[in-house]
Amino acid sequence: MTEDTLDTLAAFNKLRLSSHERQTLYKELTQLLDALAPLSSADTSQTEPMIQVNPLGTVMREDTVIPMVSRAEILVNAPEHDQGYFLAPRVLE
Amino acid sequence: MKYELVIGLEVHVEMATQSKLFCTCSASFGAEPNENVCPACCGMPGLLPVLNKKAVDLAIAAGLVTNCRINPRSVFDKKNYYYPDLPTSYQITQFYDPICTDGFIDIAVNDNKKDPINTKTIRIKQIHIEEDAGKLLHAPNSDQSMIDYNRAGVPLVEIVSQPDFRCADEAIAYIEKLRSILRYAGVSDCKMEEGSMRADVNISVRKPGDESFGVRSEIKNMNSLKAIARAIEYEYRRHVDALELGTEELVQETRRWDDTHNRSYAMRTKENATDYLYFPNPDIPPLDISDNWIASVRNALPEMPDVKKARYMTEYALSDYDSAIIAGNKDLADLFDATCGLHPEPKEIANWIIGELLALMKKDDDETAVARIDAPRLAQLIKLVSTNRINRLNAKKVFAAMYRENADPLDYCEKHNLFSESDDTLIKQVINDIINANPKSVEDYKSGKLKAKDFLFGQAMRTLRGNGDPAVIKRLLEEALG
Amino acid sequence: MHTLDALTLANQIRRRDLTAFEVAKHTLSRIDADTNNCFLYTTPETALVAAKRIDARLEQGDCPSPLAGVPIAIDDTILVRGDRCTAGSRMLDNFISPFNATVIDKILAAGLIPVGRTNTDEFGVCGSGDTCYHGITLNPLDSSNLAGAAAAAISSRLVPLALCADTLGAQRKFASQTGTIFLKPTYGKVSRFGLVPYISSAEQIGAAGATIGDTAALLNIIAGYDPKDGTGIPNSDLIPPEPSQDLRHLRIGIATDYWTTLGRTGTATLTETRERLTALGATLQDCPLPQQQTDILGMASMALQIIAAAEGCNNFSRYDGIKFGYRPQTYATLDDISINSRSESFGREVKKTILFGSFVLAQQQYEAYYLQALKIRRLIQQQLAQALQTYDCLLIPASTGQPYHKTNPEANARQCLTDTHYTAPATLAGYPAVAAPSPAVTQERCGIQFIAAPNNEQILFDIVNLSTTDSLIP
Repeated sequence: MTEDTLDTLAAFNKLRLSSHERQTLYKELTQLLDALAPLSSADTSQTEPMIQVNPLGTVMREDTVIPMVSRAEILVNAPEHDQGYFLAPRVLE
Repeated sequence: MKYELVIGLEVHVEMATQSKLFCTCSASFGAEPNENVCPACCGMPGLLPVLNKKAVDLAIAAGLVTNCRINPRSVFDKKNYYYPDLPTSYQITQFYDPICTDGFIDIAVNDNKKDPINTKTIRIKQIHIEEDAGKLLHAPNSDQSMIDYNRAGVPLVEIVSQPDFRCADEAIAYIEKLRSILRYAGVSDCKMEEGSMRADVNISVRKPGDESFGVRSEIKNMNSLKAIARAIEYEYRRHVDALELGTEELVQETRRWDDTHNRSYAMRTKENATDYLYFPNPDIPPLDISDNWIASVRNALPEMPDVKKARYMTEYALSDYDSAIIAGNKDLADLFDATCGLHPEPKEIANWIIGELLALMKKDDDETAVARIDAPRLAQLIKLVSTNRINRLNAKKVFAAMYRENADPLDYCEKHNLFSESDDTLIKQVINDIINANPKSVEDYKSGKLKAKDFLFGQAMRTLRGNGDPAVIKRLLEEALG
Repeated sequence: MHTLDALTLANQIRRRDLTAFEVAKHTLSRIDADTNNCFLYTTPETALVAAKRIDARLEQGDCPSPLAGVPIAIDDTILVRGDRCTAGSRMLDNFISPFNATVIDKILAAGLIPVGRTNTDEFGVCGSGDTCYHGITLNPLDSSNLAGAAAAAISSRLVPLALCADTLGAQRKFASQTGTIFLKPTYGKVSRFGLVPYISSAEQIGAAGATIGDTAALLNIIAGYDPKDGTGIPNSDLIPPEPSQDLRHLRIGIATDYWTTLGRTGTATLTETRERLTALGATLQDCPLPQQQTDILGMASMALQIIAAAEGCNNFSRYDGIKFGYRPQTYATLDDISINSRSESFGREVKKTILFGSFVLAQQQYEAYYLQALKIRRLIQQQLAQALQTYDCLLIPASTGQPYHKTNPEANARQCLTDTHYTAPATLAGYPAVAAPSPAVTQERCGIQFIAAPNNEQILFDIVNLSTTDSLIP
């Protein structure tokens, strides 16, 4: 990982790092990556990745409408809302 | 053409389900903002996605009617990016293993009153299931965005074509064909004006004979066929100008189409970011589709437009053109089929649908207006005409009333005196004229030659050009003859 | 009454020797006096109303469960309708949950009395005990060191039971350091509906208590198939309340390589445990299960870190200050809201997880890190499954036993990774595990951990029930 990579990752994840944070995190992340080096030595050529640990079949539900909470309950946590809309500054395009 | 135009289309279609793809909120259109929203739809933590079976049924149907391979196993992935209309900052889609691959549809291009000249096969790369995003609105004269998550989580199929189109007409024909077959299959109502069908248009140019592809621009979220045609034309010229005249440097990018000003412009937002960090969604087990499931969806499909068109031509001897028009639109075909079931004059019915109904719909620019005419009343109207109870001119008036005011044919004729039998004055006039013009026949009749009455009757019928009830004519003639 | 274990307490409440109301009141006042910062806040109104209600039912002879009337602490990552649920983060400091987690519905139906929310590492990340926005929780057994708040609450006998989520395995580690017990169920046994997510493919809400009987009874209440959780297992066996009388039917594999690397810290624990289990009739055998860095099991911690970071990074991307959560004071553009909200509210460990997670998922690294971690996961599950064909359960340490000092966050963060070594295998494989304290005589804090095959919590219950009779908390 380079410092540029760290900056790109921070930008993508909507994180602004102070110069101190940037320094510390860069150091810790490089150390972390170094510590992970043994991973590549594992012979996984014959192995499929395991995303779900239980071999479940497809899980589905019927196409029924079951409202969960009211709009008022949803908007209780909204920092800014008006006439039912969530509000935020305008997106620049 | 100095440069060849190469187009690929990614068509997003909202599936006709009651509830959303991964939660039980309503998927209906037109609700008040954020009424159809649960905590998951606005990004709150703690809810888990459970797949809507109907959405899979419809996706399988979409794959079948586009001749795709339905993959026995497909996987739901997360596509990560930040945008305010994406409540969780990721979209659940199928990136690595989509549900359908390698299909095709045939389109007819340059199709006018003559037989279609060009048929072209457009290959479909894949179809995958994904969630729709919410809606971002901008209050005019305000520095605020207003966000509505009703649409977030609504099930979509995305139909990705290969870059097989070479002109705007082909792209339009494809979208129209897709709309037709998807509506037939019940996958979606495909209403572009409501946003249930949208297209991303990928455009590039290259020298004819060149195998490689030029720099590609993508124009997203087009929901009007006319705008798509204009955008394609504009982009073609912009690309050619760039290559020939060096007006700008072409870069692979996403652009927005401004229909008011008839131009496209590059988007400043990070839609051009390349890495979406796709990975399989750990909350959702893989989607396994059995042959039985596919067979049951296939068996439930109605007769598809191409098959229907062929049947109209052989069974009813309708013309290629007329068959194509009716079969191409499920609503028209349903009306036609139902009316044929009630009244045995398919060509007549076809004429009324194409000549009258479509004309009125085009004038109103309203595709949904088919619903204003129902089969029983249409059958009744046509029967009135065929049995000469009303003449064709009056019938058109009745039809217009059925269309505009939901009129009932019999009531309307009654109220407005449109029955030929009630138009005694005209018939009496005609009979008088004929009696006066044929004194010898009258004499013959009065001296016992009954055939003379038949002659006079025939004359009256001919004069009235079949536009009168024969029984009425006979009666009035007899009255006049005494 | 606070020295009683939950089942005994419930018994007395059912017999009406005690009322749920007086127990709840007593509990709440003791929590108020707590100096270890176990609880973020209490919910006295709802607790007392619920207590009165269960008392009324019990008067009629209607007893909904063996734990009816017992006070319970809820971890701050489990959503309770109408309550402020912060997941230990400034980001959710003012978040009021609009719905109940499934486990909450279940414990309410069973008549348990939630009394308040326990502190937690921010979103369950790291597990060092000092990443919580609301401050650290001290270990009641040793106040210069940290502990997980749920474990600390039980250890200081504020409540006999707690519900909390096992993510990287900190709950098992802290159990061993506070003299309490934590039971992590088979993945999919307990619904994750209503759990603020971090490691979606591995985390489980488990039961914390002072005795294994209590945790087993609690697990029976919260377990069960939930159609709202697509990763739930359909058939979920409960732990029968009558334990086995001895362990003669059990073969226990001692994962010797884990104990050897622990060095002298674990020797007394292992010896003592071995003796007890043998005396109870169990067959014990050494089971190598190599776990050096170059062995598959030795890579468990690394693989878990990668998977946790990837899933966590994605689970935290929804927090952007727009729909809910921390809204920054200053912002000009919409981008600013997200950036300021996240930058000002996430702690360092969460930021690190996010950055690392997106790194391993990036196209260039995806195969070498994320896919490789998923493949190693499968190999780990295979190894455990194979071992558990020969043995009914495996015995490994619950942690290194190294304490987490209250003023050393960097060292603690590093220590976490080392301790994850012991908890990662069961987490990655989704296998049930229980952590119990080292026997009293040893004063060691590495604790003992038993891992069983899926749905075999019964075995874990039997072993711990019979082998840990001394209470380690005052």
